[in-house]
Amino acid sequence: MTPETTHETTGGQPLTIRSWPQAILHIDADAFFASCEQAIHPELKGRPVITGKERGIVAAASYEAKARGVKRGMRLFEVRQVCRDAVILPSDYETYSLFSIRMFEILRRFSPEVEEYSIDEAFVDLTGLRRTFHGSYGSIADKIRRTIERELGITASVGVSLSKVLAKIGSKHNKPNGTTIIPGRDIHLYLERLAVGSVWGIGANTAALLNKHGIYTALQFARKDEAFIKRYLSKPYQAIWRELNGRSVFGVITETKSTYQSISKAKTFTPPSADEAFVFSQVSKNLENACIKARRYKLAATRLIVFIRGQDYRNYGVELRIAPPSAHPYYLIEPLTEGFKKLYKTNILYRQTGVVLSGLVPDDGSGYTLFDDMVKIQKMVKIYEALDTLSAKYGKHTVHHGTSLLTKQQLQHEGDRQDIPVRKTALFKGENRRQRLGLPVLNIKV
Amino acid sequence: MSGAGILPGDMVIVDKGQTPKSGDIVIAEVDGQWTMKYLRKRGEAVTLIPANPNYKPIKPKIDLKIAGVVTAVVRKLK
Repeated sequence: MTPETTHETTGGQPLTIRSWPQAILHIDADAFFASCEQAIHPELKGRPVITGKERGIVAAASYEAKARGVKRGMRLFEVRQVCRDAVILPSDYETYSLFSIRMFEILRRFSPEVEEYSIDEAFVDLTGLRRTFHGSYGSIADKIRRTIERELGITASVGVSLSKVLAKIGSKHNKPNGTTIIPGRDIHLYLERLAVGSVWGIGANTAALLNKHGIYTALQFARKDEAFIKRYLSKPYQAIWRELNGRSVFGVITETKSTYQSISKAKTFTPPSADEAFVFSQVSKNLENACIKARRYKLAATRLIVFIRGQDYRNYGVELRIAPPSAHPYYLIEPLTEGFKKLYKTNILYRQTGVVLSGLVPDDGSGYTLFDDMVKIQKMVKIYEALDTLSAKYGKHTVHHGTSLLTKQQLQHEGDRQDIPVRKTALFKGENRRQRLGLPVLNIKV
Repeated sequence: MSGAGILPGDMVIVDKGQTPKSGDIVIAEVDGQWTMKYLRKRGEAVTLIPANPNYKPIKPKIDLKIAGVVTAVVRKLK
């Protein structure tokens, strides 16, 4: 669990002698999407599994596939060249998010302070829990890891240290299925061989700047004096510097995300299309989807970005102002149409469309002026409330705008039926295309 | 498993977190084959008992992996 170095030979003085002023755990599921597939398809255990079939690129690769040279983002035809027996599956986000929810639920059995950082990553504040669990922070971490493996059939890597930045270094240190504990007196040993650009939050530009000052490793960075840090770096980097020195700055944020800067919805359709009406119906549906999410969070947009992507992967986009702020497609269809007309060119094949609602403000009715038709706006609010109620009861898009109707010409990825995950086609009685039981399905026939 | 009230086409709910006890219905892989049976533990010996008495108990030859304990059966009619 400690690196191959000892205190005497390298690293110099410890950065701090305080062992556990606080204990932050970072957990990162190993090859998460691919692992979920192996968990629900036991016959795939031990085989190279890849997800992302519907995208044409590798979204996740199991460790068996990684061992054969498969990397994230690789094109699928390249995968077939390096790993002929790879099992390539379409992404089944429904199942992955069910596993994700269960993983976070397991973490909450150990501590109420859990930050759901992404679908497969979380931070947990373990400070003060050693007595409750009768053991060291390392033993708690191992227990968490084993519980996840037993109950979900997937593995995760865990790091425990004094701050989030250090915990993240720990979880990366021993992947897959490893626990790395970095107490205060050992921090320097882990930072010594770590490139400064590999530290969470330090990007290529900052790394290049630091390199110019002769800082190449995370340890060199951590050992710089505060005056230097304050002179050359902005606040977020000063925080990273403190965290590397074992002083926790970034707290574990337990609230689930309740506000957004922007909301975007995009969708790729196969085969690509040059049909104007069809492509417009796609943006219209993107808009409806984005508005549904905005309404769920009681937000309204002041800016709308429309983009379409050609088959050559070139993007065309335009930004429009929205006044008064709205999350109702009825009011946004007009600017959307205007934007779309600017972008759309005949005889180009398009493969993806999307919209971004940005400049989001709380939808509390304060953004209106004297000249807005309040009676009509109130009517719209009621109509969309009714629509959202119908969606909750019968599934999303039970009622939708006529402008989105043409999307139904092409069922999701009709080009290749195998691009649809099993969960969406093997249905139980009473389930349908939009509504299914919230349980991961173990694909075993007995 | 009709002897246990589980019919073809039924959905069973499996708890992967439980430690399987003697008498539980389990989903298990025996020598490479998936099956659903009653689990019987007698000291060190583990046997899988079919619900239908006309079939013989299974003693794992090489290995036995228990995927989970069956806790419920769901039979939707429509």
